[in-house]
Amino acid sequence: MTTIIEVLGDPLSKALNIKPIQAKGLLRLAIKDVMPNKTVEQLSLKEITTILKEGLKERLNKIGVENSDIIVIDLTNFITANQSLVTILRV
Amino acid sequence: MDISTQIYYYFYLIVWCITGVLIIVKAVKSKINNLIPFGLSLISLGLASIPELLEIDISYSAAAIFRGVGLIFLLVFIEKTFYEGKKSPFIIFTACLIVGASLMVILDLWNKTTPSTMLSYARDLSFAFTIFISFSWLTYASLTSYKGVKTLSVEPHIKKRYQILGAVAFINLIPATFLSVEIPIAQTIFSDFSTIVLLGFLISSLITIIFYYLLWFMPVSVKNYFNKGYTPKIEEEEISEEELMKRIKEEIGK
Repeated sequence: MTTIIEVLGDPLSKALNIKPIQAKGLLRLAIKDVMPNKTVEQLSLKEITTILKEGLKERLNKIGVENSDIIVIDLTNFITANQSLVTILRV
Repeated sequence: MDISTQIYYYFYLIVWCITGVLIIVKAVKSKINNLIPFGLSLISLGLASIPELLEIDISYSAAAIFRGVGLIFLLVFIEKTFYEGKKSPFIIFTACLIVGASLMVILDLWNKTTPSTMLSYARDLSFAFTIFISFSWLTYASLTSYKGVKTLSVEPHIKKRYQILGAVAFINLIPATFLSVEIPIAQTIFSDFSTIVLLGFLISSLITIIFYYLLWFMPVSVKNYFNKGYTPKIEEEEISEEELMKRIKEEIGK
């Protein structure tokens, strides 16, 4: 089943030049950091952007990614542009 | 009211209201808040059949209010699903819809006091205008979103849903087009054109409801059919958080 993790994992793996599975793992950790009580399927657009801006940014800083701001902005723009997926993936 | 018109209104009332309720139940259960206005839209559009069936003096005006409210809910759904945090024509379209629905009511009441073909035609045009506004936007929103999604690595049945939504929105524009030329055609070329318009609305309602079920309650067999030939990437690997962070650090450092 495709989730928002798969959707965001591909552009994140390209931005960081890491394997898609690692990018998806990073996103899972970011979700766990910011919304530990929510499953991926329960996340709204607003919550996803919060996770990217807070959780993912923090994780990227931890591993020493210099352009974390740009990566987070790009991912936020990407999900805002394709926001209907947040609904369609959950039905 | 003839029997075929009655069947149409009963179908609309029952099927649309039930579908609307089922969609709201799904939205509440899955906490998909933006889907609630979609369900409310179907219920309101379905309820518009009640005043029509009652055949009272203000039937058309009362139905126009239900339709107007239903289409505004549809605009809210489009805004919340496709345009949250983005520039959108939501305010303009909502204002146009309110003007269109108000005109339907005013022209109908006016037509009751001084009946004229021009007033009936203007009233029908207002109705067609409200449908054009809402369903054109839905067609545009779903097809432009499909364009963005089609290159992503998501299951084909997900992409198919965008096409279904775009198609169903477009189909609703067809009877509205018929309606906007009904009176001139019925008076000049073909006197039974009203029957064609009614048939157009009935067929589009049937297709709409089938497509809405496919869209929001897609059976597994249909999902599998659309996913034929698609192989999901299997790349699960159980590793600890520390190990994952270490590996990413190493990858980035290469």
